[in-house]
Amino acid sequence: MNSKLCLLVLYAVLFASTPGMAHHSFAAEYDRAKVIKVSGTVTKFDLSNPHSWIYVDVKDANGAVVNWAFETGSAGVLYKRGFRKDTLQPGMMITITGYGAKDNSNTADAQELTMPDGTVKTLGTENNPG
Amino acid sequence: MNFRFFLLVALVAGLLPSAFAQADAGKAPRTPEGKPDLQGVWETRNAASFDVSEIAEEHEIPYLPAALEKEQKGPRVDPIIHCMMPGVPRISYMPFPIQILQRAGVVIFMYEYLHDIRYVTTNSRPHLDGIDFAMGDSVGHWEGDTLVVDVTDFNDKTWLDSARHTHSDQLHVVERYTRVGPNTISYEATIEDPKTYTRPWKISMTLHRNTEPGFELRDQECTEGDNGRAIHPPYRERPEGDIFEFVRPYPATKATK
Repeated sequence: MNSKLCLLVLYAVLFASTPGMAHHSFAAEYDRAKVIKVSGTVTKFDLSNPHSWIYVDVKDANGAVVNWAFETGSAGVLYKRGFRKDTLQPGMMITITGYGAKDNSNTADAQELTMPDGTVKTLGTENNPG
Repeated sequence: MNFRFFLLVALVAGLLPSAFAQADAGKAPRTPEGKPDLQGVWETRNAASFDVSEIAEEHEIPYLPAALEKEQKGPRVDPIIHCMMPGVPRISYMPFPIQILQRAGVVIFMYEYLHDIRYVTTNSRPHLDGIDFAMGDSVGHWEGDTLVVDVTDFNDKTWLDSARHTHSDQLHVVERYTRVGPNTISYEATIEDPKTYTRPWKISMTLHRNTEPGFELRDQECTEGDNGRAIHPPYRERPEGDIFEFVRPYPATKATK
């Protein structure tokens, strides 16, 4: 990846924010040391701006179902990588990795997605988490 | 010779004034590629962004009763207040200048409002599939002297105006731009949405060329000040909190039974 593109991606990640929230950085919200890997059932795929979200129902150690939210790239970025609104549908079994939220909520910055057929899709970026 | 330099030379050589003379004679000015020349800075002189029924045929929006009911029970805060892009056709009648540039096979709309851009190819490529955008997906083609822009792939997050005229993700807009004189573009759009309206309906307005010498687009940023909120008159923050409401001045919105 050339350096200009890297910078662009860095800006996109650092300065994109959800309406109504203060501008935030990855470092403020997510912890790179907290690697999350879950398998579960897709409940919703929101292909949107500024960031898309993947929601997954996951059984925790006690057997209780917990809904995880994985934040990923913008609609346009994911579209260019081949994602469509129906790429992830409710009920699909997926495995997804990411960096967990600092506030210990069930939220993570998505990195890698394994589709039901075993296909692996990158959700983060080369040098920066998506 | 690169194209930009060619344009500059063409400008200096006075090709554009002669093109306007042609327009005066009743013919649309042409680009070097022989396409109608829509280039320039254009502005609306209406308040359709506050209430689109101002420029709607018969001032009427043919709502399905269920859609009107849903709208009346829905959110009351204009999405642009929270920096949502205005969508199409609203971007065309926002009260901010629009600069149109043309290159071979493409018409580029640069909007001062939110520095939005629409890059409209005129080869009638297929629409995108499986994605929704606030601004939709624009595909253009020429019909005689008219640029026709077909826009689909919308989400349902934008409004047509501040007066809470909404649409669904089934919105389909066909815009028609015709340069009818040196300083005027005739703009028409057909708006259809089978989940919201009983039939396609039309808006029409004039885009006026900004003839101010040296005029350039400037910053227009939504999130720069005021804690990330846009404040457009006539919005006023209410004492009870962050509520912005624009009261429809027209009694024109009717549900067609």
